[in-house]
Amino acid sequence: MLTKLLHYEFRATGRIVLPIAAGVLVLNVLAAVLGYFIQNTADSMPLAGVAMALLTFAAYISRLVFFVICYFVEVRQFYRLLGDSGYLMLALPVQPWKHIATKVICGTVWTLFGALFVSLCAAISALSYNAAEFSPVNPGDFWFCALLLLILVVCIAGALLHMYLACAFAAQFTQQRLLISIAAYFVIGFAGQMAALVAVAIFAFRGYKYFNSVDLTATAASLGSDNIVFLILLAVLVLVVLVDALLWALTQWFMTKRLNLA
Amino acid sequence: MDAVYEVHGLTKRYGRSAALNGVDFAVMPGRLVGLLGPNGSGKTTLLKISAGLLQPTAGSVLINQTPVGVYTKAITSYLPDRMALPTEFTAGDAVSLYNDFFADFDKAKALAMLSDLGINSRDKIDAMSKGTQEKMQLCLTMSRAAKLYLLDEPLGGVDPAARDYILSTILHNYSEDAALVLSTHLIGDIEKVLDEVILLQEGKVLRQAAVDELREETGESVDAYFREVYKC
Repeated sequence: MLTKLLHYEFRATGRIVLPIAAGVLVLNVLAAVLGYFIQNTADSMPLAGVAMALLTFAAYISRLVFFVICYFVEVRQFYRLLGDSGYLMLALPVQPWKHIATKVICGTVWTLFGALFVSLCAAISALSYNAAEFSPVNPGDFWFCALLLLILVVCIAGALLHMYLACAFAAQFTQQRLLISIAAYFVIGFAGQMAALVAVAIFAFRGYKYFNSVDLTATAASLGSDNIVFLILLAVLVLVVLVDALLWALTQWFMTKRLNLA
Repeated sequence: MDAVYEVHGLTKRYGRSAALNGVDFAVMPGRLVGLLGPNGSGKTTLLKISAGLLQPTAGSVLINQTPVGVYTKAITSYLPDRMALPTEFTAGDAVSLYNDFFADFDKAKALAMLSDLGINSRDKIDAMSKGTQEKMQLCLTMSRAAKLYLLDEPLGGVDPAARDYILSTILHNYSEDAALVLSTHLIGDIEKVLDEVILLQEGKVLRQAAVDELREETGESVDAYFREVYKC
C-alpha cells in the first residue's frame, strides 16, 4: 500500500513541480544563451543591457521560487490531507503511518530534487560548467560523505515533520486552520529550542565532572581526529533521528486519536 | 443474522456542544436505511465517525463486528458530502486509485458508468462541472461490492433530473446482501425506496422504524411525518 500511495503522491505532485521545472529551465537557458551574446553592449544597445539584467534577475528569482515550491508542495498536500482530500485518502484502507511516510518521503525527494535542479540551473546560467572543478570523492571519505548526506536527508525530513505536526495540531480546530498552523509551527519550534537548551544545560552540569577527568587531547590522539569528527556526526545523526521520531509520533497521535476532518 | 452496522452510545462533543449524544442503533444486511434529520442533527458527524474520519468522544461503532479501522474501511464504501477526489487527477486516475486500494472495486463497472455519463478517462476532474464531479464520485462509490455503503447527502445540491439519476445508480448498484445508509433531508425523493428510517434529533436517535410500519402507525407518509416531527 505504501508503494501505491507513493505512486499517486509523486504523480499528483509531479504534475505541479515538473511543468514549473521545465519553465525555470527554459528561462535559465534563455538567460544564459542571451547573456553569452549580449555582453558589453551598453554603448550600442543600452536597452538590451537593461533587458538582459532583468532577465538574469528573473532567472535568479525563478530558481529561488522553484526551490520553495519543491519544499512546500508536500506541506500543501499534507494540509489538504487533513481537509477535503482526506475524505477520500483517509477513507482508504491504509494505516495512518503510511500516509505520513508517503508525505515525508515525497517531500524529502522533491526538496533534494529542487536543490539539485537549482544547482544545475545556476551552472547553466554561469555557462561555466567544468567537470574538472568537481573533485571526485576520495574512497576514504565515502562513509564521511554518506553520513553527511544522511544527516541532510533526516534534517529535511525533520523540517517537513515539524510543519506536518503544526498542520495536524491545527486540524483539531474547525476554523482558522491555516493561521493556527502557522502559529503552531513557531510555538513548536520555540518549545523545541527551549527543550534543547534545557537538555544541553543538564548535560553540561551533570557531565562536567565526568568530562573534566577525561584527557581529550589523549583521547583524540588515540582515536584519530577523523574518527572523532565521524563519531560526532554520528551522534548528530542519532539526535536528529530521535527528534524526527518524536515529531512523527506526535503527528501520528493527532492523526489517529484526534482526527477531526473539517 | 448479525447486524452489519452497530452504533453503541456514540457521543461526539465539540467543546460544550454535543453533535451526537449517546446514539444507539443497529442495521441488518440487505436493508436500505434513510438517516433522516434536519440540518445540525448529527447525520454527517455520525457517518464521518463510521468512515473513520473523526474520533468519537465516547461510544463505539462496529462494522461487521469490528471497530472502525483499516479492515472496516476495506468493506465500507463511503460517499462524503463534498468533492474529495483530487482535482488534479483525470477520471482515469481516479478509477485506478479506487482499483488499486479497494479489492472489491469493479473497474469495468465504473468505466461503463462513467461512459454513460459521457466522461472520458482522460477528462480532468477540475474541468468537470460540480454536478458531474458529484455523479462521478457516486459512480466510484457504487462500483464497489462493499458490505456497507454510507452515503452522506447524495441528493443534496443537485437538480431533480440528477436526483433521479443518482437514485437509480444507487438502487441498481448496491449488492443485495449489503446494507446502505443514506443521509438526507429530501425525504420525498427517496421515501419509496427505503426499507427503514433512523430519525435523528439534536444528536439523539428519535426513532428507528421500518418505513411500512411507520406509515401504518401514523397514517401518513414519512415525508409528512418528518415535517410534523421537525416542525419549527
